[in-house]
Amino acid sequence: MRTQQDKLDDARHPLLGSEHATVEANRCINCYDAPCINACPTQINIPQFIARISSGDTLGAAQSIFASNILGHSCATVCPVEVLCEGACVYNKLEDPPIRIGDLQKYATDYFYTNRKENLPTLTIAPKQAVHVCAIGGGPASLSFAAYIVLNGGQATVYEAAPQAGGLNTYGVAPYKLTYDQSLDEIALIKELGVRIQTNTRIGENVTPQELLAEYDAVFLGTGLAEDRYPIPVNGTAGVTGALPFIAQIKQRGEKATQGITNALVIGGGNTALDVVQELALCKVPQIAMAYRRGLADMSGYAHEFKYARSYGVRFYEHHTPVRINQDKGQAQGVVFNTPNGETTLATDLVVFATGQERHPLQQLFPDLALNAQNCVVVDEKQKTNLAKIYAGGDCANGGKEVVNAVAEGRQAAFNVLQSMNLDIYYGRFSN
Amino acid sequence: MADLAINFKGIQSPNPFWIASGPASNTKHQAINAFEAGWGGVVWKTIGNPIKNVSSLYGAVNYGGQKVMGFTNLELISDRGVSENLKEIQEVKRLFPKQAIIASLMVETREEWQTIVRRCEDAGADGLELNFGCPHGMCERGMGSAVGQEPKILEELLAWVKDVAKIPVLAKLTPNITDIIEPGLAAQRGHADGVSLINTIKSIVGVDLDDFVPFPKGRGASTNGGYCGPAVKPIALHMVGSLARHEDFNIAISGIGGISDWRDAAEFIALGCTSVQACTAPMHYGYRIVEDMIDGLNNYLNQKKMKSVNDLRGRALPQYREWGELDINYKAVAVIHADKCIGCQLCYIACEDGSHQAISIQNAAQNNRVPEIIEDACVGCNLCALVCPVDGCITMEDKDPKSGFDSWNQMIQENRFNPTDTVLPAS
Repeated sequence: MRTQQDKLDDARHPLLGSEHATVEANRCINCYDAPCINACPTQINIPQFIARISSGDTLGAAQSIFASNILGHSCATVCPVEVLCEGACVYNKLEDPPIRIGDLQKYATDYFYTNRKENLPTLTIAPKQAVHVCAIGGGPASLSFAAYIVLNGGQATVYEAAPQAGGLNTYGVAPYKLTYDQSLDEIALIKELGVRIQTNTRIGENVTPQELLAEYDAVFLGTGLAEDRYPIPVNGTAGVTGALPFIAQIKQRGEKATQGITNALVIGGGNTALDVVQELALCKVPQIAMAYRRGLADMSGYAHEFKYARSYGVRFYEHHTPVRINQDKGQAQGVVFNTPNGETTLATDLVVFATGQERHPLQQLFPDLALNAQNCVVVDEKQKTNLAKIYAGGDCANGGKEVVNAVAEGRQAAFNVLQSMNLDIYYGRFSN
Repeated sequence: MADLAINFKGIQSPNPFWIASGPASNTKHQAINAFEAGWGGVVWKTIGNPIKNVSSLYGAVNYGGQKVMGFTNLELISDRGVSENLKEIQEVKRLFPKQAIIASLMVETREEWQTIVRRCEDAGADGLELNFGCPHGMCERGMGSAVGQEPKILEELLAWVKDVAKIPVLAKLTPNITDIIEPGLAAQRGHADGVSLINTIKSIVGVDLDDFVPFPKGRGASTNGGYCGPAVKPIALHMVGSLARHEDFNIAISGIGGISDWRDAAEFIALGCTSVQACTAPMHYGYRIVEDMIDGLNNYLNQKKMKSVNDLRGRALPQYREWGELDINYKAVAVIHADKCIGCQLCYIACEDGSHQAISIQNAAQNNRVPEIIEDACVGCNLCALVCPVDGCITMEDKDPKSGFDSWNQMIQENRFNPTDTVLPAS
């Protein structure tokens, strides 16, 4: 198993040198109608980009990736490849290790981002087409939507309330998977392609939704999930935080974000909770515990991530439902839980709630927008909402999936905007 | 332990594995290391009037991540003096009396040939190999492959050598010809005791796409070299087999061409070779590979209940036939073993685009992606089995084992093949 330092290094450096990449690329048997492609939400032509690595056309490999997934660089490390492309690799049936698709994708896209400043041709934009769209929210779904409109010759503007676009890629994804700078690199590319990104702009404050509908051919909702939700009252207690603000802190301040913390307690059983415990471990917090209201088997977090977490010595408490926070002079001291054996208290000086997020109040902007029982925007298979000209994708519509799902949904919406306007789609043909 | 010792028309060797004449058999130091590792013989790097080499010398073809699948060189014969080489041969022979040292030779005139033969015999060489094969640098001077390509000259030079030689003489043949039978029979007419083949194939292994200089690169330019290594083995096997099965050919053969392990060696021996020579493999991995060749060949012979390597010699020759003699009634059909199939569908696309459209994926979606053979369309070509990544997943089976023997030759002889839709319309 890889060490903590390895994982941090992995996020910042190519996993494979060119010799290793060639050897690994040559292991790929280039299946017909390859199962890995069908397992990728964005349908990256995986055997094709791997064959291009094998022949030494690394630029072509990256172009092939971006033709299907403009955020292919972050997806290479953020994607749960074990349950997506690599999980579908036919080598699994031979009980051989699957092709390291994620690592090869990182190899190709690292090459692209490292060399593109040196006059490397990047991506070709299709002939101009008369379409101008906007996206609300600057996360992966919106960036993908805007990028595929622009790559197809149209114009796109993205409105982002935060100082930087990228959404969870910039502020939320644990940095051992994707650093702040890597996310900004991807946004820089998308800007270079011609996408306009207006940050520090909140729709409803600086710009009204009616103005957007009047100005643009289509509006894409990519607002993600909203604020952290606490299952019990926290009353402003110090030492209590939500998972996303906590990761945003670590991402920007590194180990300083956990200075003085000796005993951290993460509440939740999903992948976000597992990300938080791994980040705490990487910040060298001496004691880390994780408490979940249901049993181990009910956890929605990936088994392989849980295994990594356990390898760092994280203690795990199942069937622990939080009841209240014990505090002293406004500082959290412990959390009281209901368990099958009665009430119990776990001492802590940092409580991180990774128990889910509130849905964004999109209905404040568009009162007639249809939401489902889970408070997600209702979309059809074309990512269209119930309102004319309005599409949606990413977490606000799917309830919180992977970055790669957001990219797929944004692209799908872009293609359907083009299709609805009888414009050409240059899908998969962005190369020189 | 099977007996690996051979007697190559008088050249005794404890095993059939010889280092081929080349960079790996250049010096006393190397020959000693080779013999200590276990090689049965060393064919000393070609001795002649000293030459001057260029730089660089070698190039390689890498394939699918495998380094040095093919290898090329621009190196000429020994750049060291004749006396220096012969003195070293003498010293090594004294240290290794049971191993074979064969001196490879390349000179021009009758006087030079006859003189160097005598000097090699005086040094204690067990045999001579006349280099009629080198395809670069020397052939332009009228030597090497220039001789191997002219059967009459080859025969005449051999006669000069055989006039004076008391030890066995091999002629090393070039593959840069249209038919190996001609130089092979010329060598026999010249009273050679054996032939060794193949020497390297004229080649350019690649081009640098940045400065447009072919490989291996000199300063700003390159030239054609001699190709060898694992990639050339099939060409060598064919040439060896063609000579060995020829009814008029009856001298010994030393096989050369991409031999890297015991299995390669056994294949050459099964096609009629008495000894085998390796150069690229020891250049790549060192002399130590011979340990695996000795143990591997021994294990194989024991498993096949052969007491001696000599029992293996020529065992494949009766099965190497003319096309017209093959059983034309044999109909192989591919069988996909679904339990082993991993659903890559490479067999499907290979057959669909590259062969006879005899594989269907119509039901694959409901069947774990496993394709199906369309028996009536299958011609038994092997392509699906060749591209299948899983051992034993696709096998070729005899569709009608009870069909009697027939051949093209018999059909023609008995006037039983009369197609109608021919180039010239039937009158």
